[in-house]
Amino acid sequence: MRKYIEFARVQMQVHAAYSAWFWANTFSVLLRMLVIYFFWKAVYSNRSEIEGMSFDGMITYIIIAMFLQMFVSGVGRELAHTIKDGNVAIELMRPYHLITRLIAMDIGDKVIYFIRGALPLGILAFVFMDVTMPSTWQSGILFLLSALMGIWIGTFFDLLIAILAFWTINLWGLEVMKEAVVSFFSGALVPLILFPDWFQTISLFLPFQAMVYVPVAIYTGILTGTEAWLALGSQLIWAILLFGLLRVLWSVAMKKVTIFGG
Amino acid sequence: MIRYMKLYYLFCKQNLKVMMEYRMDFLLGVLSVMLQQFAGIFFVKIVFDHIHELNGWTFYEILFIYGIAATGRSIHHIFLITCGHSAGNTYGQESLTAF
Repeated sequence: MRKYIEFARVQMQVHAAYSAWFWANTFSVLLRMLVIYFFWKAVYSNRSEIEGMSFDGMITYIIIAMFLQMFVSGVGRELAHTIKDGNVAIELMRPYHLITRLIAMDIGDKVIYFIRGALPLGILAFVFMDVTMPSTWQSGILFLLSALMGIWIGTFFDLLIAILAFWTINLWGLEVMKEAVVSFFSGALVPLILFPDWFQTISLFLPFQAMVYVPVAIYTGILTGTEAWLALGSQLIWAILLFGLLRVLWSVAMKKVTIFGG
Repeated sequence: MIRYMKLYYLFCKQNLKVMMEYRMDFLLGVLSVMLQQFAGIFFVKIVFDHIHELNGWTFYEILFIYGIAATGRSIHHIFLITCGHSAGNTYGQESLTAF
């Protein structure tokens, strides 16, 4: 356990070292927030609500979803690259579990990003952009719980895709596909209630809505009461399922590992 | 200058070869890029299902603007990302979040 904590800590230090990158990133997020704000402002210019959502509710949803989406991707790319360039052979011999190490580094990444990126920018959004607090304190707590599960699901899904690199070797295509599917089905762009009904039905059975839509819907009060608990339950099922699937796939992959030299 | 144009051409060719080396993955990637474009348009469609015009712009006008923006980005992608970077590099970063 101790060594994994060290990995997370080192990863945080790595981030602290590159401050230009950090500022560029912050600037781009700020810009995106402004674009989103004015886009939705224009959408709401002639009406007070869409599907029962007021402008405040909508902008809260979109901004919170945008932040959450940054946390639901994982270290899959890293794993895929280790597999592709053959380094995985050495990594597997080292005295730690590769997946656990990657997850530890990922946690380091996310913690530091939360403190330096999401938190200050989030406060900025609260002050200047009509982003509101959760409607009740219960939904606030449920949001935190659900967001953690969403991040868990996103991380494991990402690793799951990356493990496929043991079979396909290159992962460019799969990764682009994952990106497209996740950002769309997860409800990171628009709340899923705006989508056509057939689309909502499909996404109900997919793990993607558990990544972003469910937590943010709880936050903004789209899901309340029993519905919220049901959604949390389905999140839990996905979390366990993905965790189990990753373990199975990993042990299968370990049996058939083919390693190239680059 | 001509020498560099030649070099650029060669690098492009090699890079495309590297990407096509893993045929299945390449096809999947091409498909996914199209999927991303489709998703972007679908996003606009969904917003316009609920409103009729955006600051005086209609759905088709917005689609036109979207198309022009996408064309510019695509030309940049073709000549500077697909050709310039090695395969497997980040690609799917932009596009959807344009709005």
